[in-house]
Amino acid sequence: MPPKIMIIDDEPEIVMYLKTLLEDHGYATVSAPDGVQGLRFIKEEKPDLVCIDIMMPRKTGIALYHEIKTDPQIKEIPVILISAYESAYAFKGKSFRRLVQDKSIPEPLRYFEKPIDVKAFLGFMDEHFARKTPGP
Amino acid sequence: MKKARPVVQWPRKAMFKQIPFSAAVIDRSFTIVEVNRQFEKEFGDWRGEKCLGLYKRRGNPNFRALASKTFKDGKTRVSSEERTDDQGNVRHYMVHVAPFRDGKGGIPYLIEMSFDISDRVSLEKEYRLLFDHVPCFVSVLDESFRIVDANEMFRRTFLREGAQYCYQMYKGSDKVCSNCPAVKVFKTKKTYTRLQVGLDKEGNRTHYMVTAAPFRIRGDRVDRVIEMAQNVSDIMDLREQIKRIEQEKLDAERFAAVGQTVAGLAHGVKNILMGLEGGIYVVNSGLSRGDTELLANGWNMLQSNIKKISTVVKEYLNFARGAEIKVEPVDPSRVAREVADLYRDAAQRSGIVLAAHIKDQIREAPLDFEGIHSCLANLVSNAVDACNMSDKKNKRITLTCTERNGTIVYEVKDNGTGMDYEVKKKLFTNFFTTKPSGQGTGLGLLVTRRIIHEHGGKVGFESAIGKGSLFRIELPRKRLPKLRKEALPEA
Repeated sequence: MPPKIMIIDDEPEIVMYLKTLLEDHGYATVSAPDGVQGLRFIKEEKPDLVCIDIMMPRKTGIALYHEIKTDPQIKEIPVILISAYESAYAFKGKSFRRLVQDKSIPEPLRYFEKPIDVKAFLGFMDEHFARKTPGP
Repeated sequence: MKKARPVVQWPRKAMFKQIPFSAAVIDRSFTIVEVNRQFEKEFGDWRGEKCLGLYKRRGNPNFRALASKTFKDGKTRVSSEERTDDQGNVRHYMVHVAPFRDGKGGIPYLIEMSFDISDRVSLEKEYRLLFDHVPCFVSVLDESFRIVDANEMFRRTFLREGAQYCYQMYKGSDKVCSNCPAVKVFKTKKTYTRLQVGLDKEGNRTHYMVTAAPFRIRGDRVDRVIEMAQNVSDIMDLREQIKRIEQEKLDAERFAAVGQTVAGLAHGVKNILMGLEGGIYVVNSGLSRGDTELLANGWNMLQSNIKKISTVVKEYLNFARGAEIKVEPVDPSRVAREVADLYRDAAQRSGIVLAAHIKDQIREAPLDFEGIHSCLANLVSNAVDACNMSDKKNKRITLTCTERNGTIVYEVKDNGTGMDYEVKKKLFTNFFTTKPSGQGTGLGLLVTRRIIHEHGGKVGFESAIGKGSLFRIELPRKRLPKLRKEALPEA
């Protein structure tokens, strides 16, 4: 069974891009267009990893992340945050704590800045799931 | 028969004895021949003694010269003298020396009377001390603006050598100042206060607040004016400093607005880049998989992102072109009226009533007409969208223009969808839109805020989900940009 990755982004194009990219590299994907549906799907689908866009209407990626990390059922699921918000360096340092002031919430597994560096993104996934990429 | 005049036996000697100040009679050999009771009380019985000894003791050895003159010319003389009494206190006396005539042209005696004026003298000294120690500049001028009296602080600060007139002392000038308050006091007998800039005797610029008031009135005119001035240089410096800080704050706010706008733009551009890279990837993937549907999806991604580029670039150029606002005298209500007219029909077609509450008598203000117009148009257009997304029956937008306490206020209120906390938080800080894909670039509010900040104003809002939103533009007149000279109407 390939690892199942959930993509949550309000832009359908970004969802299509990430789905195609990950599927081409041997991953299974599921997706949701916003945080409200996203939270429901995570509970139903129990993905191996979740990619969340930060800027979304209705419920932001940060609010969704907060809910995942405080829900005992799903808090162990690794989460990647993606945004054009700012560089990974700036985000990891101060921005995350500014956005999530609750210190009991751990930092996300990884932050990727849009447009994502495909090589780094896939490299990270492969390393995380510790297996060789079959290639497109 | 003529009635006999009653003869009054004046108890002359007794009367002399009881005069309530000290009196002595001196003969031509300067011998004291008679003293009254008060004299005796103060100095003892000096009858038969030469007056010299007494007056030496009283500390007035010149008395004899005074007496000689009066014996010679018969004129009354007055002098003041001081002496130390038995308790060691200095007492002040007003001494009168008057001739005592014998009726045949001779002056056999002088009568000397001394009044104790110590209380008055000490009061005068106290007043003088007070006058000198008042911690502001006090001076008294006559009608030719000559300073006839001045307190210690005035003398220390302004008294320069050779100067006599107030304008010489206060300003080192050689003529009466154009806005002199004393001139008005002499004319109207009223009190006037003015802010003046002078030069102290070291040549330092001094700001002072001067109040001039009538001091002495002779007949129906004022012939002395008192001027009291307070050094306000520190306050003026502080005022300058506050003004400079205000300006710096305004500049900083403007820079911050530009910075946030640039950050917002960067965010938008990064999203488009991701869309383009994604499009290329999906096209390639479609080709290699031989999946025409995926290929078509990728192609659509490319097309829609190229369209986004075009929209963003146009709006960005719009934004960049407006980077420097051009202000001219503008009727603030005219902008609101034009925007209301522009959107009324379109709103009506969507079943929205657009009402305008525009106050007529608002003074012209230095505004960028196009800029404010596009801000209001943006807010009204957002309100139309918010109403369109709502399923209410009576959709309504109100555009208000008024002035409150020197601040021009525009308000755009709608009863549309309203905004939740997350949307509100991001409203101005990010390149953010809630509108369906392709309908908004998220630049509108950024541009609005930038233009309003350039005017020194602010944009605020109140919103409740399901109830609607209110956007408010506030433009304080004192923070508005200055009119450029060429923009001023011809005189």
